[in-house]
Amino acid sequence: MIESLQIPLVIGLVGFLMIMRVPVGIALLISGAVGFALIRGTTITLDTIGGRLFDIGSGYALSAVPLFLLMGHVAAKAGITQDIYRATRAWLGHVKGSVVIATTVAAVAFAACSGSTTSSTAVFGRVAIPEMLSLKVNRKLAAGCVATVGTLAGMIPPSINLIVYGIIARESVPKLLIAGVIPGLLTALAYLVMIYIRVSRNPAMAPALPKASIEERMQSLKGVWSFLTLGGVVIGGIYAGIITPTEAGAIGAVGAFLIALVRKRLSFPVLREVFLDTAQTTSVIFIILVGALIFSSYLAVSGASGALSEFIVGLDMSMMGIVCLYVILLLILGCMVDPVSVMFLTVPIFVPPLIELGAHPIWLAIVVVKTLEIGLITPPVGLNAFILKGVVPSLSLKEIFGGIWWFLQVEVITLIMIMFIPAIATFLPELAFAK
Amino acid sequence: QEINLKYHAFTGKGPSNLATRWFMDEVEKRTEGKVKFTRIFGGPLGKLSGQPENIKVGAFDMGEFSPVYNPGLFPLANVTSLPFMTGDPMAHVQAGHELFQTATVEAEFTAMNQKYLFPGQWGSIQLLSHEPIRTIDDLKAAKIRAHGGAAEILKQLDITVYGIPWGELPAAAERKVVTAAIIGAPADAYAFGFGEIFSYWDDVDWFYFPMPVSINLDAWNALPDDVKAVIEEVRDETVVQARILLEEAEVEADAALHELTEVVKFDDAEWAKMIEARDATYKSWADAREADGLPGHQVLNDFLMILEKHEANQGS
Amino acid sequence: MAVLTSNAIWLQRKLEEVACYVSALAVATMMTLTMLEVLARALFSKSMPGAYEYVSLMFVYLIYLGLAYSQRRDAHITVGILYDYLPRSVQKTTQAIYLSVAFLFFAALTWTSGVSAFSNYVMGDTVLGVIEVKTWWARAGIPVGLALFALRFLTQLICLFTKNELLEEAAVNDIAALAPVEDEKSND
Ligand code: NA
Ligand code: NA
Repeated sequence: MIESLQIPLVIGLVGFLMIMRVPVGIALLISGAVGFALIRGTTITLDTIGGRLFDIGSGYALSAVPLFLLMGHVAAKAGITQDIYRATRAWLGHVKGSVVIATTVAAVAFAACSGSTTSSTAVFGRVAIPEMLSLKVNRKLAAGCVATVGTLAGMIPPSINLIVYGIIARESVPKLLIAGVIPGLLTALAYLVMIYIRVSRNPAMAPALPKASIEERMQSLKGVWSFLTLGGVVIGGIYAGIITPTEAGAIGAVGAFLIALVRKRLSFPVLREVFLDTAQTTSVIFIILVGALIFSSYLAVSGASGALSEFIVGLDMSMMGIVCLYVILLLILGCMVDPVSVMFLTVPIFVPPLIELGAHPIWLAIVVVKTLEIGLITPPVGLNAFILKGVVPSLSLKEIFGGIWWFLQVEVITLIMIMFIPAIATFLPELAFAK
Repeated sequence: QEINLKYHAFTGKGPSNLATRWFMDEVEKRTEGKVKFTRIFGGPLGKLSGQPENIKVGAFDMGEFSPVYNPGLFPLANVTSLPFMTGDPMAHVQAGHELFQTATVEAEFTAMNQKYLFPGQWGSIQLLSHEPIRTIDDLKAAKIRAHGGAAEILKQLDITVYGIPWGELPAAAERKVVTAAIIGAPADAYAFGFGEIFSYWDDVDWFYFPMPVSINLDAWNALPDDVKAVIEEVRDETVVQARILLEEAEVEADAALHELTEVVKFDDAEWAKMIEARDATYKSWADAREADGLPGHQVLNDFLMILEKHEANQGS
Repeated sequence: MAVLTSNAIWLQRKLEEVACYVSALAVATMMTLTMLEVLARALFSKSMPGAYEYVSLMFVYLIYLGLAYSQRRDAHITVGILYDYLPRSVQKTTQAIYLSVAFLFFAALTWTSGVSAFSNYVMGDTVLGVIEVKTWWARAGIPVGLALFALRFLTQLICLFTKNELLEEAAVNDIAALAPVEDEKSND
């Protein structure tokens, strides 16, 4: 076969398998194997993949991912979500926008205990949607809020996407995690402003609650301080450089278990449940990583990666121009494919030439992850919308995407801010890791 | 017609594949375009520890790896990473080249379906620290990250070694989770910013990090004789070239690292104790191979003899 | 024959669940080892030899041992934007092709990853570290996970023909059959 024709064919095969409902990881794995076999032969291909499955699957930095997932699962089991939610409602319920604002603030707090956007969305969908609907919050606003605020977990540390990015791009994972703090908080703040303005204009969208008494407020804090402390210890430990992200994950998980134990929310079935869930989620996430890596092996052996990288450098565009191109590509891919595979397919091709052109590595990482978070809420495949639909079937996809649209505008504005004010991403890590 | 050989580097274009790039350029030139290498950088086909198996099955034809990262597969070749063997890196790399072609050690390559070609990067591994280290007690007081021969001798001295992975080392060193580290120096130490993190530098070579380059045996056997002859010729020249290219690349790093750190050394009495520990380390290394049914003592003695010969040659 | 088949199906389901428990146990072990390492360092300035290596290797179990169970539950991330609009007969044909290819592909990988694990066992492959940690026990998890994965594709293929059940329908039934457990699960 002519090599120049082979590459688009193999890439086309991935796309075809995916739209035919072959799981993303398996589509990438099979197409990558087909392409590799066209170049090196079937026997070598199967032997290579058979050996590489181990090479890909063992690693210390990767181990942070299941530990952070576990921490989030235990926190949810121990009732952290309900507690945070109750507390933010007691403190913020009387403000304009009330429960929607409370939900956003609660999502920020939960984001510090959970590394996964999708699990955060599922958790908040179950707790916050029924609550908001019973309080007569506009259905679109409620759905859009929960589908979007879940993405905060992917930016505020711990964040699985930032860990995976660090592994692919060989960037310092602790620095990336710390870098996620300000962009995450900035995004949350932008949501709050948008909600406040929208509800000010049309107060019927989210009725305010009566002001809670001081006792109620104090009472509500009892449930949350322990977890907020834990989240603080984890992020603080990484920030201070005392512990590695993997160690932070272990401390976070053990701490969450202890809190759940003290609150008598731990039983053997719960224990079994959270460990099984973690194992499950890890295999679902990482088979995609395996597939994407095999596929990029093919791209490398075929010479396509090298040619693309050279093409990018030879474009004679400014660094910022290429970043803009890359962001557009990420937005297109991101609304069809999940963040992990998009990172694996594009980071090795785009990031080295961009850094050579002077892009700040940490800033670039935050731009990429932020863009992919946007992909999680854009149609047609916005994964978060579907997860929300899965846990709250009474919401229609039209309502969900309709509500997301308001938040999407805010997301794009914050993305542009991060792109043009790099300090948003680089200030904290530079402060933490300066001599 | 043109012969295409695929080369895979586990890192980007850098010091670790300087020698190999020179080798490939020369082979392409001297075979007048008959051989062409596809050069794949950045590790898309796997990590350093995955290189031997990838070459074995033919995922690509040629690449560098390190016996230090696969001690189980290359137990005897690892004699080259023992601590404090010489202060003469050129002699050490030449001795390594000769050793890897002796029947006993070559068998380790053959078992992995590969033919050894030449030493790739053969960098010096040295000690950097927050506090000056002049004695064994200083070593004991430090929290040291180490691998290879350095880890062996520290174990012999009953000093705890911290297994901090390379990727997390800068952050760990900055926050003093470890207060000393055994790192490729001056090149890597400077390139990865350790000069700014640590204040003291013991610029003695603790060990040399062996990184041989080999080719898939089937791919080698399929090459026509004239190409094989060219490769045989270039590979021997690469040995000296590799060292020269690395040293050239290190001039800037060396000056910069001197600027950033203060050089400290063991005094004579402490150094004598280190040498004593070193000999015990050699013995326990060889004993451990013997316990696995391998000729540890013989290979150790052979290598020390070859090394002595090359040291003498260098000196003259 | 019928009894034999139902026993085989029961065994397959049990093995998939056991594989998940092993990987859940691996998470627990990774957490414990890492925690002990932090404590040893904080309290006694000591490092636990091998902790880092064991945690790195154990990760392999988490990826591969849960695959079959996730496939049974249709939990893998899919896109399917064309498939969803196709008539059922076309969906059936597509799925029959996909399941056959996936079965053959993962059966072949079971074999090659098994050979790789075995040869690394024979050669005594270890990882770089303070103490020598063998890798074969982690490598051995891969063919086990992939064998169960391949078998699950085969079972789904058989169900497609014998029960006229698409894999996503079989998954819904499977989850419904375990409803009481699932209710509890939906609290998280
Ligand atoms: Na998070
Ligand atoms: Na999406």
